[in-house]
Amino acid sequence: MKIIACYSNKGGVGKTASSVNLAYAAAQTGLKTLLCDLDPQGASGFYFRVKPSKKLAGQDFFKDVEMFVSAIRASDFRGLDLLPSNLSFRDFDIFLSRMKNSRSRLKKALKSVKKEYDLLILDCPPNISLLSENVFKVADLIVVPVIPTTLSVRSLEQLYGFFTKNNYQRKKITPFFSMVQKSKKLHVETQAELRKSHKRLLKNYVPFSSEVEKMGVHRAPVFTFAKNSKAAAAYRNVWREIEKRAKLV
Amino acid sequence: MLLVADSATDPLSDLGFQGTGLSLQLLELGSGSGHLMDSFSGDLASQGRLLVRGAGFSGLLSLSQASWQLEQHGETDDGQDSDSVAGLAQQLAKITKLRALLDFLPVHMCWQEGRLLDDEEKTRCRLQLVWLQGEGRRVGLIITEALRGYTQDHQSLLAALEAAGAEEVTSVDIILAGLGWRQGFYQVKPELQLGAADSARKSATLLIRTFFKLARANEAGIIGDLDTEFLHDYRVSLRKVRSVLSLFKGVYSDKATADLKQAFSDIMRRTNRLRDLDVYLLNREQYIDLVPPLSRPGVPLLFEDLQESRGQEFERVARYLGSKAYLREMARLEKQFSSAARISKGPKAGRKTLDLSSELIYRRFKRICKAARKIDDKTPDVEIHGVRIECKKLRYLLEFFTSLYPVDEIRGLIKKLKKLQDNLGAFNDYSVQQQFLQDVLALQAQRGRRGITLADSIGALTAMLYQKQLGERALVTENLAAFTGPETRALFTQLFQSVEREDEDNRLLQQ
Repeated sequence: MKIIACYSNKGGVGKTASSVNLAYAAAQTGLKTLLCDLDPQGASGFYFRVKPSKKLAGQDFFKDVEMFVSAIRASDFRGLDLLPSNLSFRDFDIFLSRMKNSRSRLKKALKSVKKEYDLLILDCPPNISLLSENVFKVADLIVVPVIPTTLSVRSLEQLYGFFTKNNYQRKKITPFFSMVQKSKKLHVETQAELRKSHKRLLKNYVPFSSEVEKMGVHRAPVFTFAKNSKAAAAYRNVWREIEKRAKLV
Repeated sequence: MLLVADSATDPLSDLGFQGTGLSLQLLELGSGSGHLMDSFSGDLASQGRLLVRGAGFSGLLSLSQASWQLEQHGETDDGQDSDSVAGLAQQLAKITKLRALLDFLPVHMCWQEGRLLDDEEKTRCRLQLVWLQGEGRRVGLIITEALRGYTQDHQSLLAALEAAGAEEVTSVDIILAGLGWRQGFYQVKPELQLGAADSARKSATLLIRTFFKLARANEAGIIGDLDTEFLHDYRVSLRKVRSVLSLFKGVYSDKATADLKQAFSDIMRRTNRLRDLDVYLLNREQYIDLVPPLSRPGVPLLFEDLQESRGQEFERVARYLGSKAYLREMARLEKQFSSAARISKGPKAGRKTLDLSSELIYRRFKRICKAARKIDDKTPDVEIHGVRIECKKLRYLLEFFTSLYPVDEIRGLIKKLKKLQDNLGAFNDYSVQQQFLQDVLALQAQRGRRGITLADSIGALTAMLYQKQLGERALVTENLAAFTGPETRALFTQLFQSVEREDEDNRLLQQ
């Protein structure tokens, strides 16, 4: 089982839409996929029409592995399941800090589904926290959507810096350009510049797309209502690159 | 899998979900006319499967897997065997083996997929529905799929379906009954219920009548050349008739017995050659594997010749079975067995069936024991063949009289006997096959390249078959000893020996 995190330390970069679409693309290739929404403000459940599990809100979540597993819901799409966001993740940081061996908690919870899924996609909250750090350690790859602007580039550099400082594996960081507008000179220039200095950047990128914006209206991955769109093709190509990097093929 | 039988209203139209936020959405995927298909003996049904084939599609329902597989394929216009069912073929061949798939009920079918949706149009459960319509009767088969995290909704759906009249379907027979098809499939091993206190003549006649009827049931399949098992079952049934006539010696008058034996012998002889050829043709792959690669080229040639002979022989048999003479003769014989009183009786006619059966079985077993004591690795083959015949007779006796004894014990004995019989049977087969091939060689007048290649392959085959025969022979002594060992003897004694006969049996033992 491979674990791919979708992370950004900056909001509004299309992280959740990316998690949803990449998870769908992965399931379509035949990988039994679980999308875990670790973001307390997480909207992936909304995109899949999955209601948050009322029973679990406010409880110590990962403490009971069984509860973790019982919160998983099948999406409408074969091979793709969802662990909807749980408000108690808010408390997870505090919970983790009290525990000894905190890093093994997440791993333990994820182990319980190891046999059932080929791929775990973790949609992470846009912050640096104990949970995020646990994700950095446990993930095989950390996919980072980046809008090609100066500010985004700064954030990316900050992320690399954080990794270096804490001795995390920088090579896991796999950035890709998201919400790209070719009409904007800034986007084009930033892309070119960043490609020179960052070799791990994915070749494929996701254009800004009204289709992706409409995901909230349709409440479904973009492939289901706009399968021939540029956005759908882009996400498929991005997934194929990620697949190779993660050695899933 | 649930079944919902014919009803005036569509059972799915109102499942009582109003107010719960749940709704059922159905989508028709396809429909068409076709036939239900199965082998003559209903092998698919007995394994919980139902096959439908129509123009351009084949569908297979599996009860044990609660699944519905649909395959769509183009119309066969290249002379393909109309029984082939594309990718489902492999799965089905394992179940039907040598039997052909035949249409047995015309149906109209439509299939749908369904989803149970919540108020946000999230799918909570999936369904597959298959509607079958037979002679004006309709059944619906519903396969539900629970989705992870929504098991309660699945339970609600099942409850609602059951409240609407759907029931768990446990056998294909129920589905067929729902379609109005009650005739049932042909059973190659019918139940033989004998009365322990009935006269031997009455029981013998019942047995003969049963096997005779079975034989006749296969005639149409033979004439239609549907598969090799029709002829096989036909002959086995007639063989059993002859067997009753021999084993129940003295039950009918000597003359009646002799006449009947002759009559059946004549009938059977007419299909000997065709059955031989069928069996050899079925062995094609084994024969190719059996010979060294250098001798393989001639094997297909051998089979080309056999196939041609088979074609000619089949025509002869089909003509015979359809002839007035044959039909008259079978009608005459059938009339004879319609009641026990029609056949003149012999000295043992009035014996109680249970007494006679025990005596026949026990004596036959003792004979085998006696023969087994004399057999070692050096005993000539002809004596081995003799024991094989004795075992065959014992097997028939055990099968004929199963209803008179505790069924588990009898089944156990038959199982042990079968092991020995398989060994003796294989030994005999290999020897017969060698002879057959030599006959083929003697008859074929081909010269030149083809003749030489053929002769070479036949030579190689004969040699390999001889090796196989020796292999079986090596196991005979051991298998015989196992079957006639103290445990089996004790069981035979317990089941079949009566005190009154003990002296007579002891006398036999001393011989």
